[in-house]
Amino acid sequence: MIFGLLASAALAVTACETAPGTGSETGSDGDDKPALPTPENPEASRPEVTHTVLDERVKDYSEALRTASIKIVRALPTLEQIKKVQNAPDPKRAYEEEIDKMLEDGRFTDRMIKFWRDTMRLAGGAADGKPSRNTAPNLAARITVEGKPFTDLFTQGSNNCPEYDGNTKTFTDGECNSGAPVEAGVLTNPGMNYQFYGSMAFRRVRWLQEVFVCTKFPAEYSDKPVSKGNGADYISPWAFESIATEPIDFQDTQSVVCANCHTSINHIAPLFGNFDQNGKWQNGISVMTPTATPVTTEISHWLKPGETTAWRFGEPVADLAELGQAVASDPDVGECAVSRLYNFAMSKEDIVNDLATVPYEVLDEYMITYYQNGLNLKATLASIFKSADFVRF
Amino acid sequence: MKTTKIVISLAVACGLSAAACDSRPDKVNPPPHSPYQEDPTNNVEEKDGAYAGGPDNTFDHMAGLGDEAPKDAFEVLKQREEEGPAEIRTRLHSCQKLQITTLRNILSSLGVNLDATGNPPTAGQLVKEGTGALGSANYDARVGEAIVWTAAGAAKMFDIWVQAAPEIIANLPNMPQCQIDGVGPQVFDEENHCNADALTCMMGKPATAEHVAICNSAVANSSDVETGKKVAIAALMSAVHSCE
Repeated sequence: MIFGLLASAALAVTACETAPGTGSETGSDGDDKPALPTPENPEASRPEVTHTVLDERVKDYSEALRTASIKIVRALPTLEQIKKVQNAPDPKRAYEEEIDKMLEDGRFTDRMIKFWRDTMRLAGGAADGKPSRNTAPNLAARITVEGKPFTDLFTQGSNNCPEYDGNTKTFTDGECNSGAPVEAGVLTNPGMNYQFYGSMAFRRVRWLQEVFVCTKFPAEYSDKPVSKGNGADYISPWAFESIATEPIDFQDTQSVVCANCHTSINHIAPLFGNFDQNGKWQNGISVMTPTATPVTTEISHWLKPGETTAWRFGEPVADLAELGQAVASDPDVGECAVSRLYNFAMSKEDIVNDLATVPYEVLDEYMITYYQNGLNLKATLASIFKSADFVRF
Repeated sequence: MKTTKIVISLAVACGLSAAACDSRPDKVNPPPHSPYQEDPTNNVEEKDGAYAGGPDNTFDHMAGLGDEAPKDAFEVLKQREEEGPAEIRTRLHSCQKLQITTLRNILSSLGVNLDATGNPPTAGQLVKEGTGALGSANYDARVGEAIVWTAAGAAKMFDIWVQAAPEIIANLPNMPQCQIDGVGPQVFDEENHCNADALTCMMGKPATAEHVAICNSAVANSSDVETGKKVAIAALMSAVHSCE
């Protein structure tokens, strides 16, 4: 959330600085700018923005049809489709009928598989003893296309590694057989755990955070930051001393406050620690601690004695199945998924790396659709393609 | 609460930024060990220090989930800021490059044979051999397909349309994509004027009088008619399909 907040803050400043004035209220320097609120004059305010570039857009269902078709089925609309919308007595209705048809087209399934592969940074068939990296995106695409609750992605206990036949455009059930005591959607997917193998399972945790919460770490913020000297604050709600100091000192504050991120990360990572380099669950921890001479990670390398694994502060989880339930219950995860779909439709860049955050003012109407339709991403996507913003250019 | 978070975030970001600079290895005296690259497609480097940063450095954190070049958060932030308030810029369509599969589908639907070969290379060859420039995914490196064009990618797409234009002009009337009741429009009539329905089909949206005028102008002002036709179609396609 840090970069999203940063962006919001900076953009809010920009918004204030660029808001057009009406001249009805002037600042102390005598120019046409209305006064800014100050401690001495808290009632001062700039007028509401009454006209923006948004008002200059034109509703164009033909243009929207082209863009939607490219997005949904990765092809131009046919001449017949174009003419139908162009000449319809009710272009809105004709356009929306075409959207509904496209969302039932088999090519939409292909598109969703590609969308989730790119989003998850994960694809590739099984080979040389390595697991398939297609099945996690397949599961996400299947859930999307079939209109199942999005949160199944983290909780599905069986058939969580489906295969997809591009020729028939059909999914077939498939078990992950990860070896984990309980399967939990993509969290126990061998392909994911192979692809994101890394020291102390941190890369897997980061994947979960960035792909499904849409922010980098730090992920949690205390109401009362604590100074650690050198101008650095400890901002996490966790006890600073909850994470390990040996062999890696996660409580180090010399250059950065490691604990700002690692209090969250270290309480999640042990849950993924038993997946080995090939994404297979083992009976013991199977990741390495990056000391000068690498050693197999022990639980004490992540956490101090007495600490237990957790999704967030105050949300303990004992295993990946419980983690899946906690992730599924996190409202940030739903907002992240809907934001990603919005950005997909509106051609925005990556929500994490490019700070393409979707503000609540824009996101809210789609979140309502998402919740009213049982966490159905397909219905949500339809509402985005039919929205007032999408059909205006 | 939200304000507090923003302030904290700013402080942390500044701190991280400053610390990142401070912890960079000295260029003159590099750390004794190479940073460990966490890539499951490579063998683990089994030697002392393979996993660790130098004694004076923090552990060398990965810049991103994938191996793409890291972006400067402050540069990105500056770009977003230049685009305007979030609530407004977010409601506006941005420009995403055509996905490679989409480009292939469009070319194919308009009559371009993607398997054809030739010298100079055909449009199909340019697509096949240009996927890197066009921003293809590299999943082994945990990188998805690019969302926006690079200069090289955009230039490659223009080349593709130039090579595709003759095939589109010749084959478009026979393509189901552009047919109504089994009949498709000729791109140019007997007087070498552009046909609006043909342009509509190629562009995926109704051609305006301006589109037709530009097309006719390109034909009329070229060194010869056939070259003019290719230029007209390539130029229109390059412009219209620059964004999804």
